[in-house]
Amino acid sequence: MPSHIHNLDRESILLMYLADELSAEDRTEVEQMLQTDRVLRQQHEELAATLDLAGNALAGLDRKEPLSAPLGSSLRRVSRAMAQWHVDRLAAARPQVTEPLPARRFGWVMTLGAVAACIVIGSFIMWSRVDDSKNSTNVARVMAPDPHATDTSLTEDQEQQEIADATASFTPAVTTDTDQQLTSAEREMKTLALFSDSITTSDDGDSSTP
Amino acid sequence: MNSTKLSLTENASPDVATAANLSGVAQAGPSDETLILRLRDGETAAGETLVKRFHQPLMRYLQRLTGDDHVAEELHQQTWVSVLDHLEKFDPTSSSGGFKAWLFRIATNKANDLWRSRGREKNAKEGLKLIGEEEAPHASFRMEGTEQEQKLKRAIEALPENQKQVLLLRYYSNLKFVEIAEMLGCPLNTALGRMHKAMLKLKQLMEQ
Repeated sequence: MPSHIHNLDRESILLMYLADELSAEDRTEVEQMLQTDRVLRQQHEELAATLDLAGNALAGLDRKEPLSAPLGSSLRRVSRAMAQWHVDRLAAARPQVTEPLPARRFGWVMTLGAVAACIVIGSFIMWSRVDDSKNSTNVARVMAPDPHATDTSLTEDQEQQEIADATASFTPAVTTDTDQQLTSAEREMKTLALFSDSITTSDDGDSSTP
Repeated sequence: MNSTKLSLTENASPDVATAANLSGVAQAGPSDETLILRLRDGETAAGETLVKRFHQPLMRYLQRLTGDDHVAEELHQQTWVSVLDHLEKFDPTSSSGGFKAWLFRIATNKANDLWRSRGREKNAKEGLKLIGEEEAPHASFRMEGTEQEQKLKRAIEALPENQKQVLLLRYYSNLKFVEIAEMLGCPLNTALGRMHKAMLKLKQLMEQ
């Protein structure tokens, strides 16, 4: 224990001596001083008495005054803080690593299914286009003029004759009593005939049409 | 003559059963430093053991230091939270008083922060208020105890903060004066001088 008394005043030396915090050599030296110095000895006795008085009074106060915060409540509050501190420390220590997505157990099945669906849809689209192209080909064949045929431009008289022939040979698919349908067909034919007559008449003479 | 009655262990009562741990006498269970290491590893039970071990002296110290039970409870909670916040930095070999000195230093700093925020440090420096002066009793004043005990209580509350700290630290923590001086950051002679002045004032008031 290092020596302190040479750097302390007399009261401080007495306190250290009474607290038993001096080295063996220092304690021996103080005891020798107490034997020879009456004033120091009186100070020592007064200080010791005061320490005893204060210590006893504080002990008595502590015995009679219960703590406002019993151990249980203090312990609960601090325990919660400790638990939270530990959680925060673990969270801070955990490295920030983005975890890879977990592999799907039957991912290959889904892949095959997607490929099959694409094939089916593609086939459907292709089939629908092919079907459309066949229809358009038939229509075009019907609509397109026969490249091997001669010039078939008809005169107006010939057109009228064909219309009349078509009307005469017209056999309605519906054989039920459809007098109204036949009547309406005849009316239409007459209308067409009148229209073509009117066109012919206007081409011959009348040029006043705007 | 080596009497040092100003020590909690000398006047241990059944209510202060944990005081034996503070006297340096071999304590039952692991040492403070062992418990600290376990607490660092996440063993909260070790922390609870520390809280139980120091609950009585630390609460009494804060209670006498502040003179207010509710404030003492709050400072007690803040002290342990601060212990947790700085647990990783604590080095048992850095101070002679070990964990105990570190704990009481944190508590003292919390109380000082409180005084600074409330401006009571200025009032403490005005000097000791004589008991004879007419003043309203403190809100936490209790009629228990003898008249002498109540005189002592009021005398302690009237001490300047620096003297009160040294006196109460010596009594409740049972730290050596060298450790108290190191904890407060002052020379040994200064700490002892504050203790001596506090003793003189207490003697004067209690003899009145």
